[in-house]
Amino acid sequence: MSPGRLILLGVCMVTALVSATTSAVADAPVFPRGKGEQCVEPTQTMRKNHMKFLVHQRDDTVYQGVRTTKHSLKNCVDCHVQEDSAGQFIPIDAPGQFCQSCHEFASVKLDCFECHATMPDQGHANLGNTPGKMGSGAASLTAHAFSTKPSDDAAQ
Amino acid sequence: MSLSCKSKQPDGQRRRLLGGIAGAVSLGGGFSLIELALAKSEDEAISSLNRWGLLIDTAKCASGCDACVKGCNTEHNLEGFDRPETDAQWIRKLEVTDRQTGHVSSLPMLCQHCEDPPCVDVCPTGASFRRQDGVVLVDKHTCIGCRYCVMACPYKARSFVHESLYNQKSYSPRGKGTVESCTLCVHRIDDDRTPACVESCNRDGNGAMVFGDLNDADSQIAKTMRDSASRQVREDLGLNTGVRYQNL
Repeated sequence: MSPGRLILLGVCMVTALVSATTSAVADAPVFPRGKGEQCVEPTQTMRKNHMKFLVHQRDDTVYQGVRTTKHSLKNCVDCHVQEDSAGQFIPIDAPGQFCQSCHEFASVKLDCFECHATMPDQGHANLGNTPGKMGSGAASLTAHAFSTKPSDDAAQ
Repeated sequence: MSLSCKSKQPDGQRRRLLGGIAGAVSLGGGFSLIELALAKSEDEAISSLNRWGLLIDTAKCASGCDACVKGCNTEHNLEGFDRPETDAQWIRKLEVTDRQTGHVSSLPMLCQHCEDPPCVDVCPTGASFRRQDGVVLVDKHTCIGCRYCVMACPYKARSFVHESLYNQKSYSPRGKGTVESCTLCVHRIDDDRTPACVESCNRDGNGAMVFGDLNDADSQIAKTMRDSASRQVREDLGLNTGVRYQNL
């Protein structure tokens, strides 16, 4: 094979590789960064082991009353929760948010938030109890939509 | 009466004061004689040296006052779905009548935080448990919602969450399919604070509730219980409740 053909083959292979990599990145979940410079553990460690940290902390808190925040779910939420344009917290299990986006990508059901708060405490003021929740994040967003719907006032 | 502003959180103040003294005297040995009285830091585990309890004076508890109930509902976001049969209820007001004399007492009924809790005996998964400091809790991670504990509790203190919730407080996780009851506000206890019902009773009610450490002979609750008579509800069951009543 001539050197020219070798170079052409090489260029083709690199192009194919780059496009494959690009498409993999394009499929990966995109989520907002948390507050602060870095997470409580290195990113790779958190990606692999966050559930272990959470379970360990969970048992320490429930049974031993240990209330350190480093590996607590509350700390995760406080740091990674986002606000919408009106300054209201967006539930962390809502589509596209930190927890939900990655779990959706990995096809892992996220059930922490069946019980645990999806946003810091002060964010609850505008959200009432809405029976018939479908999915926690979606329902919260729906509730928010209801609470800001102008026709509600008109109907009164 | 004796429940002035000063006495609202006697144990917290006392423990903080003694904590400082203990810190000073235990520098050499690492062992403190007044370990019992130390305030807990956030990374420290609870201890069986403490036993948290409530003393409720039914003579002060007024009929029609539900400050404690409101305080609890607000603290834990227990607002229901207007379905009283199934809505969660961690503390409720009762009117009890002496059939012989006709005397009516008003009192709050809540988890009695028994030393030998029937709810723990019957739990098939170990979700219902008693903390070392005497607080009876449900570990909702292991609760399967069978409700044996609801049936076993002689005080009808437990509730079952029938419907999906989403506006929980960060310190009080609650969810569909699990049983729940008064936690004696463990999140506050671990932070050296008083339960929400006691705080509300002192602020908006009649100061009928005292919270403290039953094991600490110098605490207000232990002193009051030593000096005057108190009763357990259904004392015939021998459960050694952490919640006691005066003038009942």
